[in-house]
Amino acid sequence: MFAGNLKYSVLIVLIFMSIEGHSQFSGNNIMEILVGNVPDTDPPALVSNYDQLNLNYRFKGFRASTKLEYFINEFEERRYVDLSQLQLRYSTKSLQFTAGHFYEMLGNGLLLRAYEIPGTIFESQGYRVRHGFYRDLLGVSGGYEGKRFHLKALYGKPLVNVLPPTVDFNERRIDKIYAVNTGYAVWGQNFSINYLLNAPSGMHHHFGSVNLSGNLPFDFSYNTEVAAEFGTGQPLFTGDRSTHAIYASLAYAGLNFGGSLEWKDYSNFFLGSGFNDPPTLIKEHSYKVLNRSTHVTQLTNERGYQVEVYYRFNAGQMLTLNTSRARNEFSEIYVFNEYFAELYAPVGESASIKWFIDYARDPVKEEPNRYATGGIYETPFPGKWSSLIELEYQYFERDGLIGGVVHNAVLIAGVSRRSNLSFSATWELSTDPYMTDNINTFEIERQARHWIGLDARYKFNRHHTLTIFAGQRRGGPSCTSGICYEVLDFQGVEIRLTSKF
Amino acid sequence: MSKQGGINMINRLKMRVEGIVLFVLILITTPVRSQGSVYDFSLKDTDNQRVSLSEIKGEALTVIDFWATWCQPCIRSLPKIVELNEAYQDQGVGFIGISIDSPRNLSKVKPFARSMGIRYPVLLDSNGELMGELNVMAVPTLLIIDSDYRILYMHEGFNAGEEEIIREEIEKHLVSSGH
Repeated sequence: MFAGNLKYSVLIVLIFMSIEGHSQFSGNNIMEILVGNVPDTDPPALVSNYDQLNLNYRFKGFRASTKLEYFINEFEERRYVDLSQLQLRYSTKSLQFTAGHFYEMLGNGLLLRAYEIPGTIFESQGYRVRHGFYRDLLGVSGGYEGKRFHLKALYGKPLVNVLPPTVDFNERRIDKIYAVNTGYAVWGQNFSINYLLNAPSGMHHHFGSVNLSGNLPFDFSYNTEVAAEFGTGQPLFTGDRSTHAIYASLAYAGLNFGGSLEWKDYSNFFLGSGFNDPPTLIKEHSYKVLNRSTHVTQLTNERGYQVEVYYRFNAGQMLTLNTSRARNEFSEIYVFNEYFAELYAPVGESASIKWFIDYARDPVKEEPNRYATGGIYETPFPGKWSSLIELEYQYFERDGLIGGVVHNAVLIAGVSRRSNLSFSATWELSTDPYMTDNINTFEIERQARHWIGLDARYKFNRHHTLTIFAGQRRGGPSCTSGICYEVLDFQGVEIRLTSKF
Repeated sequence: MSKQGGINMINRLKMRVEGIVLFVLILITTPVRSQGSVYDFSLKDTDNQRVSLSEIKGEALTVIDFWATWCQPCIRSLPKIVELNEAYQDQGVGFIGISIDSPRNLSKVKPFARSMGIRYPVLLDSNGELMGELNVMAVPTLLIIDSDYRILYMHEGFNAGEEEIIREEIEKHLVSSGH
């Protein structure tokens, strides 16, 4: 009722405003057609079409935006057309008011982080429905931001982003959040406090956090945040039942040398349906074999640290060293450790090489010693073409029932012309029983499994880009922008047209 | 289907139709400027100070480079962008880096940027809001805008040798801007 009236009121305001002066309209559209399926799943040539249209309208301080999604395939119960987002916003240099669907983060994300990963289309094994991957809030927010003082308040229902639009609205937005954030900055130091109430159907959970950050002498900076649930009757910061999250970082940014040291202590801090996203303090890898093995932070109980340093040599080489540790205490104690080193080196005028080595101990995945290495070589050649070759290899012995020696390998070879046209071929191999085993038989199949896929990308102009994939794509965990999700295996043809206007 | 389910479905349909009508009405009643300009956005920098585009833009052109610490092509492109900044900073070309790193990597942004040799302002777009508004769908993406915030050039991705294409674009638009 409220949303309906608000929409009509703002519509009238917008139309009146737009008659005067210039406004700006922009948008993009992702259309994807798939012919194929998860291997060994019927029908093997399932045809589906997903489309996501994002529209933005801006006039001075006013902005309206919307997201429209649809998905069609031969299963009627999986089809949908959804106006997924509608946002109206007014902002000046110091004031901001938003109604509808919006993204927001409090502090370092210990209490709340709503986000979108642009261009990512998510599909879960359970629902087999494709949809955009975002966690927004539906509600209102407003705030003031001055040079030193800021104050923000919001009300919203966060989206459970693994549930597709075919699921009922109330199941996708089960939490109800009220939050206030205020802070003050002086002498390069920032102090802020956050209060958040989650009140889903009769329950009330109160959370608070204090955040202190700023610059220190000698190019150092720091960031700390302490968050806890209060009003539970449980002692804070001690014992198994304490609901708290503590994050601290110290960074140094020198001329050729820099680094960061981070520390975490999370206890029973998976809030509501998962609307918070504290820093994980685990290296975010873009190499395929490492990205798939990323440790997923257990907010129920995790302590640890991460140290990363960079050194840039005068000849342009750059060395990155990273180590992280995460300790989980459940019925047993699990300690994850990772050591990563990477060297980037320019070769000649424009060619470059990157090489990494990685070692991890991951008892949660029953991989006590995991080794990986690999590199990328990229070089230009005449005619504004360039080529890239990437090779990665991972080895570990898994304990447990489906144990044994596992080899994972990736080889990518590609050519591209001026970022407008590119072709690449990807070959992957795995002897991981989780990938090779046929669940329909009693035996554990261990024959190496191969995936071969071809990618082509053509950018017609600034507005339209066509990408085509054909072949097999290995699924598994994938992590982008700090968010990890499961990607399904795929075999077939995928055509995606991205348009901007 | 239950009565409640039917009502929900009708409400959803109404919502969809309303949304479409809203945008069609706005479109037909508005003298729309074509997509291709940037507004005077403001973001926090690595020292937690809010900075607006108008405060740090170049006199003739501004190069806006979206990147992330975890992005492989960005690590290849950034040293080249730093070289371009050194070559053109005295010719009315301003450079702005925009990190889209999530809270997971925010503490690394400042050390990473300094280690890469970046001397121009680096702003933080942690929840991707500006990225979405400017239709940036991948990193690295580089925009060249003029003094009226019009987008003159957009470069997505980065392959070996493509710094020359960006240099050509800067040269071309510097000449046409009269600098």
